[in-house]
Amino acid sequence: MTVPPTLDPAGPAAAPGPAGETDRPGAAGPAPTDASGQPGSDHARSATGTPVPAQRRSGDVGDLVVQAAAAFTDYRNGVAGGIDRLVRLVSPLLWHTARQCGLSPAEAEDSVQQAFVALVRRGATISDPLAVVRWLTVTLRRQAWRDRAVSAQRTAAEPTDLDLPREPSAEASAVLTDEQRRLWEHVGQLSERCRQLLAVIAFAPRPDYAAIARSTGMPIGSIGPTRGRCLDKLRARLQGEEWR
Amino acid sequence: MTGTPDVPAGAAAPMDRRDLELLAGIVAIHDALDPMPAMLPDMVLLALGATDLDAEMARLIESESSLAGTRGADQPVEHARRITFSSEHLTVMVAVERNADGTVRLDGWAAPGAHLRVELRGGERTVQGQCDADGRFVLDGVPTGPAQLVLHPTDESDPAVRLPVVTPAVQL
Repeated sequence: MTVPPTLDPAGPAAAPGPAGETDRPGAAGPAPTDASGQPGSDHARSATGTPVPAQRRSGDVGDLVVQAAAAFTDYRNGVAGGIDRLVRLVSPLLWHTARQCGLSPAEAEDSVQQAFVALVRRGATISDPLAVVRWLTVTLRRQAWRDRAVSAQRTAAEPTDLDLPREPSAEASAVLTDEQRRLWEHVGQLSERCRQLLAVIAFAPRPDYAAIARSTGMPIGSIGPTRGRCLDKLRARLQGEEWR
Repeated sequence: MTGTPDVPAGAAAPMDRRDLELLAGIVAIHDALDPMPAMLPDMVLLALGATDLDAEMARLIESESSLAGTRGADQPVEHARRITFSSEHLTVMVAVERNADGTVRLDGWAAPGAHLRVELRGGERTVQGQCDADGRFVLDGVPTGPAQLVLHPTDESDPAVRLPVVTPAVQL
């Protein structure tokens, strides 16, 4: 098996260790509300659940970061059901992240479990609960890369379709609404680089330019402008069509 | 690398509502085309239940489905699965076959697995078994659902396996 060229060309060694993940993924984003950065200040906030700003769209990853932070804090404080909520909230994101790393469904199931096991064992080092989603995705990606390197050594096999980065095929589009099918067709006409960037951005806790740079091999400085260009192209294509 | 990398000017230009709608639309399409297995959160929670064990974590190495042939003219084709796990000191292979009554049968082989005690942790109950002198074990009548294997060393098992070995949870 070979490593897809589009993901994390710097390799796992260059990725930050989860234990060092003390930066705050949401700090520059619109969602987080706690500016103090003091771990002790989280207690009062999460016992009643962190309020989610009303202007956030549901389904946006920014919501997820905030809700996961509240669940993680509850878990740390021994509130019943905290870990259950955290797992149910973040598992879909980790599943798609694992699939984008080129893992098979069975490998993705394993990787998502390992990421949470790592969190339970080593998550005490996370100083800011708002970093928990990023910690989990970084841990999963690093591990996926280690695993791929090991299995490439072991099998030395030709790459198969399963090794390619995931890009769901619209052949299964019977499950899509007309509106989704139109959007997906337009996404499919963008350049490969734009498609990858948009997929990674769509699932990344925003804005997380360092992680996106590792995932796409693009310099950090070019992600913002490229993101804008890719979204602009997509919007231009959709103009005049009934998409929302 | 520590701290937040420098984010260049312009990179953090805010996305507007329409951008966020499009990205949420892309997420929804991925959810529709390649959905997370519905049982995955339960598998994760099952696996987390074993983290207090002082144990070696095995990883999934391979999982393959194969057509096991028909059991009769009016029986559907059955799928069998072979799953391989590996930890630092142990390799475990399991063939999973579906019984006619809806339960599953696991034919397993562990190396070096002679005389290990086998435990299959499921959501509802735990099934016990034992490896023979060749490291083979059978667990039959196992209910479907998320489950994980725990292989415990015994007085007679290979001293190389000092700690229990826990596999990730799989969907049986």
